[in-house]
Amino acid sequence: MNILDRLRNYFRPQLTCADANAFIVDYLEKELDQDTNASFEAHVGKCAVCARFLDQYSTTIDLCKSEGKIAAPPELVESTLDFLRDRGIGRD
Amino acid sequence: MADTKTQRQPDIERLLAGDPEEFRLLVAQESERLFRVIQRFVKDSDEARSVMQETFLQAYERRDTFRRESKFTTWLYAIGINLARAAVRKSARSSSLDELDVDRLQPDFNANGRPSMVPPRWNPEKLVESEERHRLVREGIDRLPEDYRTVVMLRDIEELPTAEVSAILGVSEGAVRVRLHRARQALHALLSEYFAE
Repeated sequence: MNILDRLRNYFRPQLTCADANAFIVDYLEKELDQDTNASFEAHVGKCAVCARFLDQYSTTIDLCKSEGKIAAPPELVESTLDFLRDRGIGRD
Repeated sequence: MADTKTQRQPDIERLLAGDPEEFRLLVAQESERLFRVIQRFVKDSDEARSVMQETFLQAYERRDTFRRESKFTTWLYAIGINLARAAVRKSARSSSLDELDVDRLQPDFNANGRPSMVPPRWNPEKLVESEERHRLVREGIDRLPEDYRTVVMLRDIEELPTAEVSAILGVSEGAVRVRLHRARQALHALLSEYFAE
């Protein structure tokens, strides 16, 4: 870390846990500006409570992705095309 | 039947002109995802199929009202969600949580910005019990109030970009982010009841 980065870190405003919580969505979507992103990571790096919460929050999203999908019936497309054909839609 | 998912996207001009081939392509490409989204509202598989088919029917019949302000599929999903909401209202079903419950499930911070409660550790052994995990996640999502369940479904499960979720729901991207954060935190709290050591 060069002297400029050290100075920047020194003068960077310290986030509270509540501030960090409000930035989670934007942090995960990589929408934070560079300074806020660095402040967020600095806070989570030294706050075990926020680090645990961020980890569990990310796990919650992963669980939604992996467990939340409902399987569609296999003949869904064909039955929908039949439904529409019966109403005169989709016929050549 | 050919694997339509690997085929080209429907041509919007031909779709709007009522070309049957383009409409069949749209049905083939969007049915599965549209079905999943609708089923999160109506719960019953047969009803979800019926609402989905009505969605395609309405999209076809009302295609001249499509204003080209969004993607055609964004407009299609907006129709589907409105029909699904109407079906839920008609049958007077509701999720078990309300806005106050969601408030209660948010982390609480004191005046210094410190959390008033430390989240309990999650037990890694419980996390790998896949059948139970599967049931808990689905039940948790289904218990969320409709506005929250919808953003989780579109953003986290179907992985649509925030801008598209915002267009489908007719709310700002900021509102999508706020709802998503509250929904995830409520879900985290619900899952913590089981996953905590």
